[in-house]
Amino acid sequence: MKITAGLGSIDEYERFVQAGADEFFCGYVPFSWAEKYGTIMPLNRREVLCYNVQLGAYSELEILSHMVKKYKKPVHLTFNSLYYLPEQYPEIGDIIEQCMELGFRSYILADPALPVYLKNRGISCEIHLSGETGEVNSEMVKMFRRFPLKRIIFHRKNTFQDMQSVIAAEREEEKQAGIRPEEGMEFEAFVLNEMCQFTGAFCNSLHCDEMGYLCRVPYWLGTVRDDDVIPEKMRDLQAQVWEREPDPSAYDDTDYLCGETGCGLCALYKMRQAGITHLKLVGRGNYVGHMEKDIRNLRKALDILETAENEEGFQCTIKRTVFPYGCSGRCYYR
Amino acid sequence: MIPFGLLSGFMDSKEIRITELGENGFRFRLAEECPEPERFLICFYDMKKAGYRKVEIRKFEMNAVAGTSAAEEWCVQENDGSFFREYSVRVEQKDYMEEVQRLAGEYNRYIRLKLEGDDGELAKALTGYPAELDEVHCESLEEQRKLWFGENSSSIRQNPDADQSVEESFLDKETEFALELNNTSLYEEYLRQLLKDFLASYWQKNYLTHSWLAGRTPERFYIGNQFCHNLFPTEEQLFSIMDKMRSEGLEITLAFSYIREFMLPSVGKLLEKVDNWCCIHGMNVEIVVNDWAVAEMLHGKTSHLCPVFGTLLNKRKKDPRMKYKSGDISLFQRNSLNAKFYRDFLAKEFHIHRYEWESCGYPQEFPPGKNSLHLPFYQTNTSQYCPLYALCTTGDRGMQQLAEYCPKFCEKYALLYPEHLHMMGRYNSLFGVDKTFLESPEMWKKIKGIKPDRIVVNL
Repeated sequence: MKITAGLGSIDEYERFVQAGADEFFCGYVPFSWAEKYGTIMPLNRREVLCYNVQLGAYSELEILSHMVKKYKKPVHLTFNSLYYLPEQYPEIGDIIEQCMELGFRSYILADPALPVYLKNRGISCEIHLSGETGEVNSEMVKMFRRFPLKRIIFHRKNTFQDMQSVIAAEREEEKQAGIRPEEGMEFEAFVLNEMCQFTGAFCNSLHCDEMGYLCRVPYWLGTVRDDDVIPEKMRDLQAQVWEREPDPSAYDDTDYLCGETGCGLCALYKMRQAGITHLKLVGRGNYVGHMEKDIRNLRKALDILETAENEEGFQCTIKRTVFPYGCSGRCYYR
Repeated sequence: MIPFGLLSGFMDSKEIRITELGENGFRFRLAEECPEPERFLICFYDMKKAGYRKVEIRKFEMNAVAGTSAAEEWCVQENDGSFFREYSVRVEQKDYMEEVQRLAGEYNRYIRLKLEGDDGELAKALTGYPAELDEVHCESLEEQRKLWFGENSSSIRQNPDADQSVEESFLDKETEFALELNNTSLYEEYLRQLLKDFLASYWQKNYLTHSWLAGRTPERFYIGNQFCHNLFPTEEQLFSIMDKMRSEGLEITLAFSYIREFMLPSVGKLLEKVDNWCCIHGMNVEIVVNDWAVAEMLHGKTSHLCPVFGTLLNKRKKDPRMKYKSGDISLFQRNSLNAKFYRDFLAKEFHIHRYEWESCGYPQEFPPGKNSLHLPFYQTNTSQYCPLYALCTTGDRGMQQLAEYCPKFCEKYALLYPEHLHMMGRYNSLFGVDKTFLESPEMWKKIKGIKPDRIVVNL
């Protein structure tokens, strides 16, 4: 399984390559887009201006393309807003053509209308179906076979069984079609950071600089009817949540805890069994030092996986080496 | 480095990244050796106007920064680790200096607010969001509904000054009227009662017997829940409901949600049974598609099953805090369905000609075709792993996993939100409430262009 890491700036590329990343994804938002659409109709799901989460400037892409040529660690560009306006599709087509001139061939898309547009226009880029597209199942994959799909990124809320079943169905299709295994579909799954309480594809609320996420607005568990009550047991469970916070000793001296906001390291054994080919390490805009540590820890976990004899042994070693003082408990896969 | 979204630049027509910014100049970097530019255009973001202020610079002094080129004859070296050359530009220009000061001040303030306060305080400082009201909430959904819809609420009862023609044309059935049966209680209540009694109870339980909508019997019912896979009726319930609706002369729409991989075989079989039922009874049934799998599975079925483009696929920005959002919010009025090529694709590949929309607090431009408008609730967030289930079983909404057995916590519990936001958390989703059409039927007339041909009430 390969590590696909988020890139917030070209300054991080070499550092993350040295740390063990195999490939990257990042956003590119030209000024012309930001000027017209701001954070109202963003080009990708990082719907902010005040953070270094986009590359910015075509000149940066030119520099990055030289880096990719040297290190041979590809970068996929993210154009994964959930939808666009009619006039935006031609603009995106133009941007993609410009990026392709620099050698960027793969694009992460979520709006199903975009591959339709690109196909109609004859732009033959490689498509990675974003984890923000919607539910992923084998019939959905059938629908997207109309387009030059190279990779499917599972969203954050999948069971191993479901992922395994989707992948097995695809492999069977490929076998029937005589596609060689090395040319088959790639499957990516989330493994570290930013576990959301809701699903990206179904999250239509604002993500912007001036307000927090809607899912983080204060809320209270209440009853549907006036005469119902919340059982004491449920109230107790809520009160105990604070006790489940990670032990302070689990953090290092830079306040880093691997997988603090979402972690699937213990699940790597099963993810490999399910047929996952790429591991998504999100965190564009996080502290660069923390991202670098994430990559190193994930690489370490993959090395442990190489020699693990069974799942139990693998998880024991992970806990001993990566989480000697405990983990966040924020498991992507339970 | 200041984010590119806040500080962009052009050297002649080339887009450049400014890596350092000062009152007397800036630095930028390029992959190739820099030609002699005629001018720079620096674009400073202004948070207050949610737009850019541009400063043109024609008088400047530019130098390559030592250390970023290995030698005077610099070029991109694939082996020596140099990928760019950095340049410094010295500027003495009053408007440039003023913009640098302004941007630095705004950006510092933003960072300070992010570090020192919570989201509410940040939003209050930047948008006027009333963070102090975030602690005011109801104790139950029933209390909340009373506030939203009850006779003491702002103006849901008929306003004597309002234009009555919309109500009249609605009662004259120019627009189709439908109700959603979207949870277990409603399935059971519908099956237990005569249609007339069910409707009386439906409006009464929602404190809306006085609403102009309550004066008309729906011609169509939606069965199923677009957002939660666990809220679809059991097969037995479904066919009992369909049989009863047929006997009552009602049209039927089945609402499917996302389909988990493990559900594919059972949903496929169910669609076949529904298709058979339609053939036997000579009826057509609409299928709300919220997952591409359902669209695919409808291939090969008879034309009795008519696919409809569901809310989870028909994306749109929806948020009860929209009025605080800065920028050109008129851009929210359209989405991908306003693009003809996409509608053509859906029609050609899947025979989809009807689209489901929600009334969500701002004007929308509906595309050609058939459009259904759901109201008053609009979905903002959904999770396949039920957050309410997680909260009820672990005390933590984030500790989610697939609810293999769903005990229907949503029948008893809900998430309550600050009253001023007009939103709620039900089952696995968050919803806002938009009372525009409930309060002001005349707003229907103000919809520009194509009007929805169907209203779907989703209380």
